[in-house]
Amino acid sequence: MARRGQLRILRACDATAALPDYDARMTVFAGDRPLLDAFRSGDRAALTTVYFRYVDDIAALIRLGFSIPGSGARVPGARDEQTERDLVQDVFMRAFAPRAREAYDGLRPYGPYLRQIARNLMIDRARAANHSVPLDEGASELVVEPEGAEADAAWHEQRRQTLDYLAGLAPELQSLVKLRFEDEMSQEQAAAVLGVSRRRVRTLEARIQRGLRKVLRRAGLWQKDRPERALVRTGSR
Amino acid sequence: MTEPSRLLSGRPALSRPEKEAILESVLAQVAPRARWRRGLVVGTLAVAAAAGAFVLVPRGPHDELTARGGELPPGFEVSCVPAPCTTGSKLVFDVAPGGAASERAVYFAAVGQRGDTRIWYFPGTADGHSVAVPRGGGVLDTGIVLGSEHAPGSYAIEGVFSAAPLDRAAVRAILDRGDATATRQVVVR
Repeated sequence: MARRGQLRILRACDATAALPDYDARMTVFAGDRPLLDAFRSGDRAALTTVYFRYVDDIAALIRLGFSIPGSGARVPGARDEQTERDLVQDVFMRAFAPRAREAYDGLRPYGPYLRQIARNLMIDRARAANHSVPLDEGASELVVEPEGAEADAAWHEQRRQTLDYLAGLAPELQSLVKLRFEDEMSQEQAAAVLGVSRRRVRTLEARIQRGLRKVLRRAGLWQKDRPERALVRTGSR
Repeated sequence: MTEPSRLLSGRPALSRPEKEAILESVLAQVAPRARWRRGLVVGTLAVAAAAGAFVLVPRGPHDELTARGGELPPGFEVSCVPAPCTTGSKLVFDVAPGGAASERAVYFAAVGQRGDTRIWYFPGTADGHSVAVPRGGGVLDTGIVLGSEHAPGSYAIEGVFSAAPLDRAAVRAILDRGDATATRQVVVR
């Protein structure tokens, strides 16, 4: 386990360092004044363009964690998928807030700006979870996020069940899985390729995921019941 | 337990549907589709609260992340009054029973989910049933006040439309099958 944890740290550091730095070549706004203006004014299409340009980088940083240069300290990646989604959302929520948009001049590299927001959020979260996250150069405590063989085995078993499930799907559904999940097309793009309506894509997509959940549940790999919590409720009725 | 869309993509990273859901939540907060509509909801809610009246709100335009066309499926929007969503805010549900169902009685159930926690909105009590949707859709006259049970974070709100009132067991069975009619994201700060 410890060895795997160490390996993960190395992988994570390497991965963080190797993240494609789009801004080193060109920020998304470079030479595109209309996009910058639309972004600053809160145009949804412009925000969508910027989001999809950077979301993979930010998600990778959040999933893998990062180390703090000089101190040797490491901030662990998100512990679970929900936390990962929450953090990605928080990053873009802050970066896309009206005041942040209006303050952005379009000249500073945008990717590093987003990554800095992500790092700050992760450091805050690590501190709140009582992890030690020293920021001064003299500190050297490592935060180790062990990744057990258990997690890998669970992924492989779920993936194996998924592949079996996919093999039994109709060709149309298999094509949709490739376009929508593997190639990451939008529903509209996938609909255009398949020659069906977007609504049909959405219906099929839901059916595919529902079927997979059923398969995983039968295999004991999907939680059927979740604990409930009482709600304090006040209504106007 | 891995998100099914990640298993389908073959990668443990965020899947395209997850990215789209996150973007939808972000845009709903930072660039809402129709700013006038939220103000209208607040105003009409105040009137409704005072008069106990039923409130109808016109549907806003739909973007690429919501349904289009003449045959809209059932759906709903949820927002916090006042925004942003935080302890003390009221969750307001604006429901649309869909084109085909708009002429007959429709019932609506909703739960909030965050991780392994499920919070019931409608039915609001263990022996209650889903609530009747205003004919043609509109804002439900019952809101949910966010309390300490809503820790900060992102919540998936799953809605179930049905032709008859459903109790919690029936709604739970539908949700466990992954058959929620529509899902929305709300971020509690």
